[in-house]
Amino acid sequence: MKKLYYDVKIIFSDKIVLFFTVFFPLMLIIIIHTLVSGLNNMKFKVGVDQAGTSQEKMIEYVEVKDYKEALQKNEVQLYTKDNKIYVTGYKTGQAYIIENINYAIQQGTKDYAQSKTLPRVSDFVALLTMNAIYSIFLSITVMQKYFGKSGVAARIALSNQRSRLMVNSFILSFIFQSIALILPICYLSYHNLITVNFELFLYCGLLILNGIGLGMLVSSFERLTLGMKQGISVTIAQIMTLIGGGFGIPMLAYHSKYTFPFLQYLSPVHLTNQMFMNGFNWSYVVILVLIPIVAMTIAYYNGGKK
Amino acid sequence: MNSYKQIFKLLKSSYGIFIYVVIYFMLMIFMIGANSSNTVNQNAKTYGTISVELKNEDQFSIGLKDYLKKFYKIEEIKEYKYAINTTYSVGHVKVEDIDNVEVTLGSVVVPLKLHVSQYINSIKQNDPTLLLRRVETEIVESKGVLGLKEFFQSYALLIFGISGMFVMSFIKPLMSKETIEKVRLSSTSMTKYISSIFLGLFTIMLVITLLASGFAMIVLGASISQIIWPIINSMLYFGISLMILFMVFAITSNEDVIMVISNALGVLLVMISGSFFPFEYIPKPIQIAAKLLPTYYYNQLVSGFDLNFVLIQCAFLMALSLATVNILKYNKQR
Repeated sequence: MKKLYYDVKIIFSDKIVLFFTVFFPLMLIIIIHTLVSGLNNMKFKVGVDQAGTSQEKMIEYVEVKDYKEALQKNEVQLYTKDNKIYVTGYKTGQAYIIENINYAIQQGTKDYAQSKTLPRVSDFVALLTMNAIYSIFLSITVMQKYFGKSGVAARIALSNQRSRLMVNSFILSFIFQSIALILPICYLSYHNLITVNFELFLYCGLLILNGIGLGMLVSSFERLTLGMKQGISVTIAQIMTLIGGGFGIPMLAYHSKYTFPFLQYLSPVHLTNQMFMNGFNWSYVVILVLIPIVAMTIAYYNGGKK
Repeated sequence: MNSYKQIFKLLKSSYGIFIYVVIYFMLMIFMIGANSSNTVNQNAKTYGTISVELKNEDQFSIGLKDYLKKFYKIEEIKEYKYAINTTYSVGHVKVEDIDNVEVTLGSVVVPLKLHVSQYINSIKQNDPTLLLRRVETEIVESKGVLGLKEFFQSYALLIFGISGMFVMSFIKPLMSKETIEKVRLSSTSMTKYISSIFLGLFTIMLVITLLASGFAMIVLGASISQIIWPIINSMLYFGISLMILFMVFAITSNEDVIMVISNALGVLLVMISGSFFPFEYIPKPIQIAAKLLPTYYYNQLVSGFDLNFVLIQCAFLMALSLATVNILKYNKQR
């Protein structure tokens, strides 16, 4: 218990760890949710000489005097006059407006397609998994005492309790990160952006294990300072998140699956995100179990005993 | 006291910075690779990639597919829902007969259902010429190259991260008490020493930026004239981000705070400045806040030269430099 208390003290005394484990991912989730919610209220402004009301709820007609100025100042997405459209280049929603105008001049009014828009789960799932992979950062701080160049690390390396102490720290890191994950899960589930079920906890748990394992691996490189290890760990977490479709670029996930297939196996976040979208996959689970085992084994033999 | 030699010495001993730059470079290569074939370029010519599933190979189904081919790149996609969810594909069309055409979309702004309706409308009205009636589009003024713009917008994130690493790996050791003392004892003046540190860092960053631009040129097919301005813009932004982090270092001297700011703040700045989300749809209060930040002007300048924005960036740089010098002077007096 005393040793566990020591680990807890380490976590709480390091404000940076607390920031990256608890607040940073939550902050990102709230900001991205705010940005994405703005997209739902999109209204496209179409410049015309005499404004009327639009039947399309996404289109708003705006009266403009100087259409060139209005376009360049971004006051309208496009300007239309006498069956001609004036634009300044590609803008979101422009194609929709143009095709709407085209349909109108083709004497079309009815929507013949039975259409449905898929709910975008990728953005928020990617954020949640990013939060889970940030356990890499927590792991580095907690495991530093086993691999650093300090007197404590040397004494632990010489004692016969090393493995036991490491397992204790491992369990504590897992519990702490799991608790830290509850806040974003509550936020996302409150806004109906994710469904809370057994799979959610399984995938997040696996990812936390991966984060802790990879954190141990980075930690075991003794030539790096703690700051450098933390910097690298944050970078690894961010890159894995990006490859897995995080940071608002979900297409990278698809590309890493089909254009650069090896990349998906380098990023546990990517595998987890795929399971969130496509369902349970045994081979992914096996890889997600193997990655931390391999990382921890290398870390155990790589650092601490010199 | 030659700070160039010192920087080179530090560069050799701290392999962490190499790992950092290599990781980021790998990411850049990956992003350029992805950029080359994603909708960024495709959208310039088409409205994106879709998949079409025909139940029957009848005249209506084939006609609809041919009509959609004019606007979309049609690919065979096995996991169409995954492709749509990850925005690789913009939609999926399942055609059974004229009364049963199902369109699955990823975004409401994709005009796929309108295209389907246009075709069905022409068949129902028995007038194929209807489809030929289309508005004429004139581009008033086109700014920038689309793929290149996206690439350099993401590059802001790397610039901020690398600046943080530079402050931690180079500026901190080179500005330590022992080094400063050595400089004082040598014949080199302090101003010359500090300016040579910054020149050294600018040289390293310029090399990284030139390499990145080279990749962009090869893969995105940009010309030298198109690449020069983004390079200057990137270097200007690098100066600003370096000064922000140097100022934080001057205030706190804390490695951890620099790391938080270079990673966390970097991501947030890039996000709210419209790199990953269309700026016009970001909520108004965030838009106002973003306009007070240099990242917003960096993004605007990526699209093309604008003297007002350049002056704003220069003002940011000057203000940050003055503030940092004053903080350093205040620290020295204390």
